[in-house]
Amino acid sequence: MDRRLSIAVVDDEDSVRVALRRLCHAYGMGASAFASVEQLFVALEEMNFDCLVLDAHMPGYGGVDAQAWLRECGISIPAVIITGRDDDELRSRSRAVGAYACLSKPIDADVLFGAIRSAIRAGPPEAIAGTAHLDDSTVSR
Amino acid sequence: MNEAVFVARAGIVRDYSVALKRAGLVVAEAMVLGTGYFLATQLGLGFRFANSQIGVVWPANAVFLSALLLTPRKRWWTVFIVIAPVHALVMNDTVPAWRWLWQIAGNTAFTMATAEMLRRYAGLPLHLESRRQVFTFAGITFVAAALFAVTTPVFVRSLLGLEVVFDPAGALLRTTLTNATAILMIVPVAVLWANDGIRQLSQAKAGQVVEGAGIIWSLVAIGLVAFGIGQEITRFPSLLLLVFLPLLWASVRTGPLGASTTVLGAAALSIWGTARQLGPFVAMADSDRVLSLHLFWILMWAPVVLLAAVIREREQSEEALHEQRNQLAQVTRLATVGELSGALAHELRQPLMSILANAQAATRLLSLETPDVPEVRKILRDIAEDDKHAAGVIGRMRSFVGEGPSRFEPVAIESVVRDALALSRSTVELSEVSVDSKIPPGLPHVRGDPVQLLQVVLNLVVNGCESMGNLPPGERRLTMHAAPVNGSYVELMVSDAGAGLPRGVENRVFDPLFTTKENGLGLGLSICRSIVTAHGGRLWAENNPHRGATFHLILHTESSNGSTALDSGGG
Repeated sequence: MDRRLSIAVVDDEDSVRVALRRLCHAYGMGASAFASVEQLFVALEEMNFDCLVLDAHMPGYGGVDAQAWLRECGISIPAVIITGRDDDELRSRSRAVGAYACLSKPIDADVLFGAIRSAIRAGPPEAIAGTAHLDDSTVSR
Repeated sequence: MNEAVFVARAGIVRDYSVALKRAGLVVAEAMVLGTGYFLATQLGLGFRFANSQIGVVWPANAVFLSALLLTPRKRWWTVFIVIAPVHALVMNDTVPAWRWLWQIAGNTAFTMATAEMLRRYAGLPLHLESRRQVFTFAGITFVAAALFAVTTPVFVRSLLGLEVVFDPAGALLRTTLTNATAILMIVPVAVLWANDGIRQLSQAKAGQVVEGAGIIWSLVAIGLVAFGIGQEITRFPSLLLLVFLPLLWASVRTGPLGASTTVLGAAALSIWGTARQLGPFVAMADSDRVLSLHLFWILMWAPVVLLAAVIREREQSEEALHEQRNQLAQVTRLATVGELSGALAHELRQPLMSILANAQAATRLLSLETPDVPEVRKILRDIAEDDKHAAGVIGRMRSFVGEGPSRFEPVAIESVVRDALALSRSTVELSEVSVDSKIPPGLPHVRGDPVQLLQVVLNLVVNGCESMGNLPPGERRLTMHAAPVNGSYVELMVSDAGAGLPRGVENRVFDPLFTTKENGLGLGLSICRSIVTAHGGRLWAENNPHRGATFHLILHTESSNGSTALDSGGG
């Protein structure tokens, strides 16, 4: 990889958060992990991330809310939503807020990093018109 | 030695020893039957009053019939070859050969016909656990005894004027009652003890043994007063009714087996007293004396054995109801797990996710030139933890739906609430409800089936979460309180902030098939209420003053003497 990518992982489940951060490090990426959307927002004041990996279901605000809010605030970062459920409604909501993909746990490293790289290549949400960019083949079922 | 030959020989030896044991058993049974029949004839011949051709009781045919009822029809011949010689031997001294041959033929025909009618109409085995069987048994006994009496030498000769006293009607009545009462008294006792009584006795608990001894003691004591010693009974004839105390006690507490046994005991005591010229039956003529003894036995037998049957019938229907309730509870638990399955899958995917990510990270780390071994060790430890966590989720679900028998034991409300929250963890999280559980430590334990109580509390938690789906996430609060009540109850309250219950008909939510869910069966709360009722507790719901509803669950503490319906139902 040319440049060390920096990923933000947001998941309220301790074990998942820790494991995903380890995985990113093992694959040579920089990763910060946050237990809630609020913590991510605080970190965003002074940090930049290439891609966000957001859990869909968290107490308070979930990943989709976070992405929608960031977009409203004009902060646009490529994002991948991860979820513990198979939920078509969630997929379409993720699409609507400009997340690149919505992946169901457990997620294979290749699929996850494939989605992250594609999301970064595709650029931040605003740069794309509509949601036509969503490639369903990256959505693991 | 060739191994095959050895094995074959061992097999032959084993078969041989089994056959020997079986033969030994048959011989032992034959000896019991022969001895029993002999004693019965002696009893029949011994207890007869002067000038009477017919004994007070003729128990020999009852022993004969019991043996037939306990033997498969294929092997009835074994009963005949035991009984015929004994009868001949006993009677040869008293009556001419033609007469005992006639008796053997008549007795055999009578008992076989009775056994066959009982098999066909009363149903075997004889258990006397239903009113129908008691009535059929008694009816067949009297009809068969009357038909038999017509064929006996006593009646035929009396009819032909060959007997000393010409009294065919009296002979008929007495022969009928002599046989019928003996069958009523003896057959149930012999058959019930042989079929199940001995097994029950060997498994009796200390308390049951003490109670049995109490019944026997009171029967003997009262029997002595009623039939034996002193003048009390002739001065106060109503004292005879005292006999019903031990009889009813046995009937209510020990079922048909104890009831029929104590009736037989009371009948034996009445014969004993009368034979010693004591008791209420001596102050009358011989024939009246016999008749009144017979009437007394029948009037004693019928209500006591019927009562035992009615009680058994009720117990059985309660058991069936109890069983049905458990099955329904089981089915609704399965339905609950079905409803929670999405959330449970979600809960399992978390450890699966971290296990996969950790394993792939570790694989990657180990492929580096200088693997970070301490980090890999930490990863492996985390994988093991996550695996146990996942196993815990599955284990909780399994024990929740597991089909164990319902068992009552001391249960801590605290642990029921904890288990319910663990099972519903994902459901609570996914419905973005915050649960505030205020269960003080050290509450007295309640008595109940832990799985069924968990089912109730889980249902309340899940219902509470579902009732708040329309609220903004910040306002979805479920509160759980518990407190002791009056020292002998524990109350659990589950409050939500949802739409509340329909005004005026708050408790309709407990009706079967009442549901507000789109795809709910409406059985959840109704089965919860029936579980709680069976625990001797109460479950009800009220609307909160401002918003939402509170479900109240009250249960007996373990130490309070709230005897529960389930306990006696065999739970």
